[in-house]
Amino acid sequence: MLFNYSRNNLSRHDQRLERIFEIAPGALSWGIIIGMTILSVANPLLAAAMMVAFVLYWVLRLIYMNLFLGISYSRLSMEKETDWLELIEGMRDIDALSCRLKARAKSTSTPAARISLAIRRYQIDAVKKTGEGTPDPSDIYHLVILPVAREPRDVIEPAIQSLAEGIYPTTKVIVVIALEGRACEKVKQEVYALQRHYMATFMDFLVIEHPSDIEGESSVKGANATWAAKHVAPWLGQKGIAYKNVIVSCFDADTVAHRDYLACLTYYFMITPSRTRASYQPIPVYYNNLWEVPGFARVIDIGASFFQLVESTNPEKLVTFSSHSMSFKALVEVGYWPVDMISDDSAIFWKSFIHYDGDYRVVPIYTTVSMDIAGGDTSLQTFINIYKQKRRWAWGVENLPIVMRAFLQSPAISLYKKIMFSIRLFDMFVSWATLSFLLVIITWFPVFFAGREFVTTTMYYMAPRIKDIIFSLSLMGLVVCMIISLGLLSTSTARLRLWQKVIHIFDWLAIPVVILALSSIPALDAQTRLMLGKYMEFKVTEKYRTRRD
Amino acid sequence: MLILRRIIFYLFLLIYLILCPALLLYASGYIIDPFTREVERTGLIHLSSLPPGATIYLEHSRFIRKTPATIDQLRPGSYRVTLTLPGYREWTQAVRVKPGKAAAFEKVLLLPQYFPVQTPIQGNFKQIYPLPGTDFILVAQDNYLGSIQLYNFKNERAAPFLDPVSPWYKFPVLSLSHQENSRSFMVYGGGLWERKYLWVTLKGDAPAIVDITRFFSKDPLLIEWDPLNTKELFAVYSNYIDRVDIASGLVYPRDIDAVKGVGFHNNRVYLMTADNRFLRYGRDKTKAEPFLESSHFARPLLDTNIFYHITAPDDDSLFLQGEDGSLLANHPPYQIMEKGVIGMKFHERSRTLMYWTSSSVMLADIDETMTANINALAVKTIFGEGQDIKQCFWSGDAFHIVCNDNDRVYLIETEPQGSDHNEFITQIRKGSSIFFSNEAGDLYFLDEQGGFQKIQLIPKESVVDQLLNKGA
Repeated sequence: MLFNYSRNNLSRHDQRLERIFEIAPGALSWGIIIGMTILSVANPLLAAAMMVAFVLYWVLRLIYMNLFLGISYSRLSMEKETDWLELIEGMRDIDALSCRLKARAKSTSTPAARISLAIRRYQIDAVKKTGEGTPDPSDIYHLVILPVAREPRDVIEPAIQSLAEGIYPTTKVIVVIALEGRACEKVKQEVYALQRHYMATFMDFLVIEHPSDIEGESSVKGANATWAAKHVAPWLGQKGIAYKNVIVSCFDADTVAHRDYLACLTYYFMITPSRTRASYQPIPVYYNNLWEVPGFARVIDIGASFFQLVESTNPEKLVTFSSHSMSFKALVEVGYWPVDMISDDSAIFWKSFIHYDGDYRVVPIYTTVSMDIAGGDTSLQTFINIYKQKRRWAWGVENLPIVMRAFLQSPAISLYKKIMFSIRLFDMFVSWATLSFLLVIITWFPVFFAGREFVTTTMYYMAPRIKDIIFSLSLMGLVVCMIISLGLLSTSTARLRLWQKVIHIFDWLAIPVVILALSSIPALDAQTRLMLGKYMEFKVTEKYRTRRD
Repeated sequence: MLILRRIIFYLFLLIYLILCPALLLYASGYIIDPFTREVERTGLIHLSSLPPGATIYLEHSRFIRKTPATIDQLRPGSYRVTLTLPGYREWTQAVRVKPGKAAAFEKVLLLPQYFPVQTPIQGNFKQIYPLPGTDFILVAQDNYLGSIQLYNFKNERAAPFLDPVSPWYKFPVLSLSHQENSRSFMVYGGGLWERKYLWVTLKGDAPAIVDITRFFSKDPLLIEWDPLNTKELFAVYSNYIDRVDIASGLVYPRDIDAVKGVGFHNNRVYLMTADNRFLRYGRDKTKAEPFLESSHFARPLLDTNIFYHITAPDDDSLFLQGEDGSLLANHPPYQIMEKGVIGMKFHERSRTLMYWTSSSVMLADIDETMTANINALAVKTIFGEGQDIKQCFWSGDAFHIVCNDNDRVYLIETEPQGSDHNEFITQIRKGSSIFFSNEAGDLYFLDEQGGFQKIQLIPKESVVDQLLNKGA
């Protein structure tokens, strides 16, 4: 479907429609917060009953998410031992590969390895059934775009190094640094120095400068990445590389890919039916500077990783987030990333989904990309930077009005998908902004504002007791989070020392306040801005790294 | 994975759909009788005590938990609840449990079997004069000024009120009047033919005494002052007020004319004019503004020959205590008491007025009236068997009242503890006063032999609790 995936250059009708859906999420979030507050004063009995219902819903949701967090984490742990290169090579003779895996399953003793092999066999059998065939591994190329605006060499180099040290042959990897023309001279010099240093390591290493002040563009990451991708396209043509065989990964400048990343991505790309109609989502983790930031910063970003782990178990509703990959063919066909939106990482999924009339999906891949936690020189500065970063993430709500407008206009997208994704979008953004408010503050209002009539009811005494029991249950969820968090940290960074484990457990105790201050409030802030038409501008998050000389 | 996720989702949905209504019904008091299999609605009793940890008996059965505790799933009906704690008096209450309702007994104060008594100052005393709102109590050994000890109950130090060389040392004291929160007070006394008014201001440990008798052309009905401005006095006569500037020695005769009521609150002076209008002055007392102008509430009830003391706790409420013992309010039924009121005290946080006659202590709740919009103040008698009630004090949380009745001190529970918990605390010296510090929870009194004693009536932890509540 031809669709203008932007809030600019719209007809009057579309503008009105867009505005309604810009107002909707903020209005809904504020409506819930203010409505429940008013209800707590006007009818505390009803409010208390609603709060009991809500807290029960929340704890079940927490248990549900914990369950899938555990499953997803197990899956991630299991995949660590997978030899992706062997699988990729084996794809040349898929029947032989299937037999080899079957034979190996018999000789494997550990349950984890057995499950991993079963998953592989299931996936390969599914490929056989489709009869689509798989591309030759040697035909597949990786284009990795690293947009740079003001990040120093300290931040960018580990990202490049991780690609160089990955198991996937670097001769099939093209690294492109999308350099903002407005970047300072020092940054430019460092980028070109990196190009010289790594030129021979990869198939090619390009630096493409993005001029500022291009008409129709905002100063957003998507504009920079789009400019670079557009300039790489003819280069690929010259080299005779088909777009359909190029997997483009648009990373942040600080994204350190796991050494298996490109190999794992290649495998999933090969086994995915209609592989160009899919984005490939790794698990984003934030370990690059984990012990250089305060505890609240650690917890909030590990929470983001957890969210993505849980989401990966639900590919039907999965939306791209942060660093991810997709087919270059699809990228070109959908018209690249939006050049006037901050949330390019999720916008590209929605743009593709709408372009292909709903025939586009996200495939979770069980490997990690690690990024920096936003930091600062002081705890306060770190807090402010994280707040701004989370508000920028929450600004992903800018996609909602555009997607809703597309859903209303597209006859081709199935009604089921329209309803499912509409509910998902509203649920995600409204829950993001309101859940913590309701849990941490508003659940106490009915008792706080209790009038004499309410005080004499059984509900006045029983509701807090029920909530206490439910909250105690939720502590179990917190313990699960602590355990998985320690597990993730231990596997992803150097082995944790005892003091680090202890500190990290204490980090988690602050989670209710941290989530309120650094998740719900920024989300509400973003929704309120959108509701009032005060659109956000992209600001590069400050990455904080202690210099290691 | 997708199928697994769907199965688990619907399983959780089913759990929610079953658990949620079950929990809400349970919270509303509904249970299924295990024998009859019928649904019935129950009530509960909530108990918390000071100190906590008391054993709870419901009829003759001991409840497994100690206070604070909630006993739920009680069938509607009457129950006798008893709290026991070693070393403390037993507390018993008949409770009526109604379906879906909670009978709450918050902070039930368990009184010790025997109060440990402290003696802050050794000696025999005749009278104590509390100075509420300050840290001081005046403790008099005899009826002259030099016999008074100034006791600071914050730092627990006592000192003679006057130096023996003071010219006022032998000044006979007939009465002492004080306004709450004021560091000054008025002493009336002297010889039969040379009565004097002394204005005493506490500055550090030494009092400053000024003879202000010359400022009054005749004995005023009342002498009032703003506790926050002790340089000015208002001498109230039958229908006018003289203003006295103590510092300059100037008297402004008939400064406020045609007036029949006065009161001070929150830096404001409240006046009732002879034609029954109410005026309010700011701190500088230069500009009067009408107050409760639209309210004609009690005008037909106001006696033109009586002077009223005005209490105005907020912009909507007004209480008038007549010199004849009447008590009127601007809320229906306007006339709370026709006569006999000795004193009243307003508790701001609970918005409750306590007032007392020689035989009863009563409470009038403003909020209940205003929110329920009913045609009567919620007035209730909480102590009706008094013989000669002289003083009453609020506790900080308004759950208790300390009362001096016929030289016996009682601790009276207010709502919702019920009306039959009036605990006798101690006998005091005949005709003497008491002082209750609600910040510390301490009672100061003279025992029958004249010893100055202190009892901690309300435990410290509850006092902290009260102050926290006060802050909230």
